[in-house]
Amino acid sequence: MSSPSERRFPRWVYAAGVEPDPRFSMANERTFLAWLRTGLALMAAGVALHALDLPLHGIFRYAASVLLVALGVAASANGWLSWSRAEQALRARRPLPGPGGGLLLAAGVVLAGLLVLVGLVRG
Amino acid sequence: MTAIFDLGLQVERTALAWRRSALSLGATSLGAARLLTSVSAPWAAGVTAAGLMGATVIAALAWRRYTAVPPRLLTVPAEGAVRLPGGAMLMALAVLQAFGGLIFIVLLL
Repeated sequence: MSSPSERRFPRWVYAAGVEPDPRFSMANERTFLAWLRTGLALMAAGVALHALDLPLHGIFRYAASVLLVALGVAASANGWLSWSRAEQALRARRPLPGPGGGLLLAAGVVLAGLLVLVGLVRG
Repeated sequence: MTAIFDLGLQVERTALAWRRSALSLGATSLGAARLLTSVSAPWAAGVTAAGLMGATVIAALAWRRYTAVPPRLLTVPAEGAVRLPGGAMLMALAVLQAFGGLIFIVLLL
């Protein structure tokens, strides 16, 4: 059981439940890190789209660039939220939560790709 | 013979995942800074510094995080006997990255 003197951050994850199998916690942590690396890749794509000289029509390039960086920020946030929800579920011996925000992010990436495609055709 | 608990070398894999992530952060900061130089030189310098410093600190802290864990996972631990470190470093990394992205959006708009 977690003690009342639980000092790990965040309290809302660690205050309840019992210590899960450490292998599961570490798998959760690696998943979080994978989300962050995904976010970095999305941000890098957005920055590159903005800064490199590409045959893309102006407004589409701008929109795709901003969208990709925003998706990168969202991926970082989603990584943190997913980690904390999964850790809570592990501690409570409950089923792990579903992808949730991840699906929305996937839709966003598809939209960015479509913007680039249209921009290339019009450019 | 003592049963080995962690056949999947989870501890080492997790430490390496932290290192990969720190490297990605550093490399992306450098790349973004190079591309940002055309937009705004002071911001480019700021992004490089913040990203590289963040990456170094995270790599160092992540190493410390896991040097204490391995001995505890070689044998089957009693229920609740292993307490892994908390999520402060995770949140710090997520915030650092998200902040970097938001700065770029602001620069662009």
